[in-house]
Amino acid sequence: MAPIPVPFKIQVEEQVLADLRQRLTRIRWPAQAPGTAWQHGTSMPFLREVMAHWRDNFDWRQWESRINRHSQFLVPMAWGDIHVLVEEGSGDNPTPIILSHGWPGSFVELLELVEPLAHPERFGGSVADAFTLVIPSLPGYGFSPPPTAMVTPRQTGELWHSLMTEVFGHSRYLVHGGDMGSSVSSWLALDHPEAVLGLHLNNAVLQPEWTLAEQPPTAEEQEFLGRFMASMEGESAYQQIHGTKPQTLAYSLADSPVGLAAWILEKFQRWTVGAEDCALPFDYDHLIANLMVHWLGDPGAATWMYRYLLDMSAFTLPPGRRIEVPTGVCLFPNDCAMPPPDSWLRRSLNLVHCTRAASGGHFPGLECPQVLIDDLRAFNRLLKA
Amino acid sequence: MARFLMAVYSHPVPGMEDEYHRWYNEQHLPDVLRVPGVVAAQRFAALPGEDGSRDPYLAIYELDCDNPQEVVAALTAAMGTDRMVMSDALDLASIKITFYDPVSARQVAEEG
Repeated sequence: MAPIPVPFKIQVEEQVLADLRQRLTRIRWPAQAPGTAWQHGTSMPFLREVMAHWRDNFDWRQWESRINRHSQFLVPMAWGDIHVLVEEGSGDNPTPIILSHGWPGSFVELLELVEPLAHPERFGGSVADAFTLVIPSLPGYGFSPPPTAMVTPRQTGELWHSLMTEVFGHSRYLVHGGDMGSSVSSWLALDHPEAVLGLHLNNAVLQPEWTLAEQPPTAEEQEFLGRFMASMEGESAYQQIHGTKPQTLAYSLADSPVGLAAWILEKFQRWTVGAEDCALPFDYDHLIANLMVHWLGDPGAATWMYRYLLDMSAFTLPPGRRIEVPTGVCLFPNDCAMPPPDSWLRRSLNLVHCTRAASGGHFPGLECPQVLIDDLRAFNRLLKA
Repeated sequence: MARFLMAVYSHPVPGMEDEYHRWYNEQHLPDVLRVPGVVAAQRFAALPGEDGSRDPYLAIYELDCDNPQEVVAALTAAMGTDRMVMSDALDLASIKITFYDPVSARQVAEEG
């Protein structure tokens, strides 16, 4: 038999929160490196504000009860339990969709989408646009415990397919993802075109290397590739650490809330506004709720998949293969995963829908949820037409 | 149609035993019985051991279906909606679910 989902609610023990409060009052701050606030990493004035908010104003129990309003399950799967949030959509025929977050996000990235996507009629929309949402936490993220092996994005896609079909009974479904979730979703669409109605991504990360021999990059594509490589300069050290020595990093992430916050929040700044003098497009509560999900789980384990980013296997399409299911993308200009030209997308994807948003970055579910909601509805309507 | 048994073991949240039994008997069994494929249900309490401790409570569901996985999917979809209201009195961490497939015919003692 397929795995049996066990009903789950987040009920963090009081002693875990008391221990965290202790740590938040005992931070040992380092020196601020000379230069501007974000020049050498996470800004200290910013981080001091976040940590003060975490200590004095953040209410985990409120988030816990908010999250617990949705059905959740722990599903025993090949490499350990997977935490899944499920929201049944309104109406007679909601479209099943599985949504995947990435690093350093978590399912918190997707929370603002849940109610409007599942129940559009409560937000001035049409019930015909309703989705039934399945939101798993990647292996080792938050309430999905550390997996017993370093699972690849492609294997994770297989887990997701099993969740959708065998466990939750959706034989045809849509797939959405961003960041590592974009990789997972793309593999799932490649490997299960018989089940995946459509693929929707908020960044397009697949590398269609095998196509370059036959079709050398156009001038526009070369310009994009050059710009992308240049943008990675000085920005990929975290990938090297995650992908090569995650255990060394894990001790400080697991032991120090400020260490975890600094490691994660640098990306929430760099991959959105990026500039020193702009406020981040998030409120502290959402940023900290995401940190909490990592803190309450095992933040080291959430970095394990990066070894497959370093060896490129997470993103490299097998020779001769291309995603044939109808694919829609909604790309954001400030994303660190820079929006490629259409021609580049078409090398890996059967592109039927392409939105280039006017603003936004790597975390659209938190930055501008309505843009993502509208785009998912538009993509689904296109597929149903 | 094959007939399967679904056994669900659980404990109440300490101090909420009355609410647990009320919810389970009056709300939950009728909710589950509305799921297609579930045809009968009954709950049992383990008799206390010598030290007074109890094994988990048991709910036995009889399923008439070809594939119990479809019943699981339907149960999962209903859970948390108004079709299947959950209770804070149920200790979710204590839940164990096992499905059983008959490996013999039902045999009964001879009258006498």
